[in-house]
Amino acid sequence: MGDKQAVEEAESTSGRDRLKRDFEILSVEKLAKSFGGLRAVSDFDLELKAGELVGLIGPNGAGKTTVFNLLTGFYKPTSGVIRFAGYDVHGMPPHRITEYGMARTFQNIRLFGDMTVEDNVKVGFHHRTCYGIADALLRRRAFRDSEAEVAQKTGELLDLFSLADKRGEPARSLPYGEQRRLEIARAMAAGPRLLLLDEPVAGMNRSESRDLMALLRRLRVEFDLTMLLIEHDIKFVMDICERIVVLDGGEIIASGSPAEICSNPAVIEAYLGSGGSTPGGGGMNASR
Amino acid sequence: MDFAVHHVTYVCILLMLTGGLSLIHGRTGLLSIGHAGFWAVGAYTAGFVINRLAPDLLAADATAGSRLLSVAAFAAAVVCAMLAASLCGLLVGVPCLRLRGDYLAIATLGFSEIIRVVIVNAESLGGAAGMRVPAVVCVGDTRRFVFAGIAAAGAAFSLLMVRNLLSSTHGRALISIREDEVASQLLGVNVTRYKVVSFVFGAALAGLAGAVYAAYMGYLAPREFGFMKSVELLLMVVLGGIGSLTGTVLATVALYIIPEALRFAEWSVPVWSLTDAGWRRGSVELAELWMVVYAIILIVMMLLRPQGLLGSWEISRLWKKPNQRPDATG
Ligand SMILES: Nc1ncnc2c1ncn2[C@@H]1O[C@H](COP(=O)(O)OP(=O)(O)OP(=O)(O)O)[C@@H](O)[C@H]1O
Ligand SMILES: [Mg+2]
Repeated sequence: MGDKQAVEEAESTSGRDRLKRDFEILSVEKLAKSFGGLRAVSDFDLELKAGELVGLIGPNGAGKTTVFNLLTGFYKPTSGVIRFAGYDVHGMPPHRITEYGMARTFQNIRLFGDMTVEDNVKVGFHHRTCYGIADALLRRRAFRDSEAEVAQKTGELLDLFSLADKRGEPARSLPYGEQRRLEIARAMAAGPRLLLLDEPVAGMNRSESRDLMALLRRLRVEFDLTMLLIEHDIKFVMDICERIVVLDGGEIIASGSPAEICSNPAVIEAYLGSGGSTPGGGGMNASR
Repeated sequence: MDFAVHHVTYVCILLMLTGGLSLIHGRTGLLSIGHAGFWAVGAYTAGFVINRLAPDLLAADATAGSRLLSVAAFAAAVVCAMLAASLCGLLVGVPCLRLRGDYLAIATLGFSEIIRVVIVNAESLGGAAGMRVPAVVCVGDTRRFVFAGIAAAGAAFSLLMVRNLLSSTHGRALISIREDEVASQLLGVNVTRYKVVSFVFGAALAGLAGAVYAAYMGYLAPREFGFMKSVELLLMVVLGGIGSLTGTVLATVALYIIPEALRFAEWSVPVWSLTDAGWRRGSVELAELWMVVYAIILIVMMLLRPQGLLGSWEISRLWKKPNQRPDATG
């Protein structure tokens, strides 16, 4: 009987998984953003299925970070539709969108520098903590229970990210690589279904970035995550992503599997060919 | 002795004010130089309520009933003062949310000046001449001690509330706003709401301080609630350490006691001034030079220890183990 139950359970999970895989967690149509006269992003379409790991690449100034800022609600789009987890999140304030299950890291690390490592992660849990201000002031049961739970989950996350022994230190005192890891841990605390990573391995050496890649793979499985990541390190992107979207001059110039992208002449001209490291290099020229 | 009790009462009233301000400025990072405005709102609301409910209930032939009534009037005054002040916190907080740094400071300053001008021009509030507040709770020799007790309880309550708020997820949200507003809102913190919460909370405590002050002093003058008071309160918060409640308490006590002690000691320092007849030696009381000393302390602090006296150190660290792990069983 136990066996039968287990089989049934396995079947239903795989069924759910299939459902989840097909589920379109993010769908973006004709997204555009202009700053004054500058069209930073235009005609941007993107569909992410639950569980996918997609890379967003492009030369400097291509509009990648702007796409993240639009998705998270930090910028209001000039036009376009963003549907996330079945909701139209267009025009919602960022904190609401986070509640629906989107979290991100930043290109230039934005930790809460004077707060401890532990408290940084705890802020990520904030919107999932459901006791009120009065509960906190009166130290009611809801406060104590919830805080104990947050402390425990924070401990788990810190262990997972190998930051447990730094928990009491101010975030600004961490070395660079650990700050990057802490930022991801903090984003994970927000309980995302979609994680946006803006250049997660920028400034890391080979072994650090290999470790991070393993960690991201693990997160993806353990937390059922969908990931969209921006990265300049082509090797990293090719290794980890299943699908790559190439942006140039604010528009998508190619998208497909790593192999397809590698051999796409437009991509080679706009991005790979330029060496990829000169700021505002090939991309800008190609777009004109 | 009499004086000592008075000073304790006054310091406790200041603690309610700086406790709230340390939330607004120290934690949320909102620069407010109008905190005395909230205090004034609390004090005048309380004064008004007491005047209405308990005009001279405690004359020489007060009965037990009227004594009780005067206590009730004081309680009502406290509640009204806190409500009125937090309403002002809301009124200031909401429109000022889009302002940052210097602009917010100017807006809060403007608010406190508006309050002062309204009071000076309102006859029902006594105008520039000030407002008399009838004695409540008790009269006579024990009054000093009773009010010292009330003020101490108020200060303890305020600091406890601030501490409880800060060590919760709401407090962490407030601090994260100070650290990085953008990251904070992208992590799910409703920045707008928490800025208002911070203002309302700080203002409510200032209202409490105002009510205790009004009932204790028995007389309110608009000039007490001026710009310099706000600056003084802000300096106490900044000097003690932006992230430390312990520091705020110490700095409040120190910055109150030092000038009082100087005045008491009547020390004077020699000064030389150039007159028609050449250099002449005179003397100035040290207490009068306090503002100069104040400025020097501040400049030295900003150079040597910009994070304030205690930075973010809290006295609770003495009995809490560092790196405390909730699951440290194995
Ligand atoms: N807030 C803003 N105001 C004005 N222009 C902006 C703003 N944000 C981005 N831009 C412009 O939009 C364009 C795209 O910028 P974005 O930061 O998205 O590029 P990116 O692809 O992330 O580049 P990088 O690889 O250097 O991070 C740039 O030309 C940039 O100057
Ligand atoms: Mg970028």
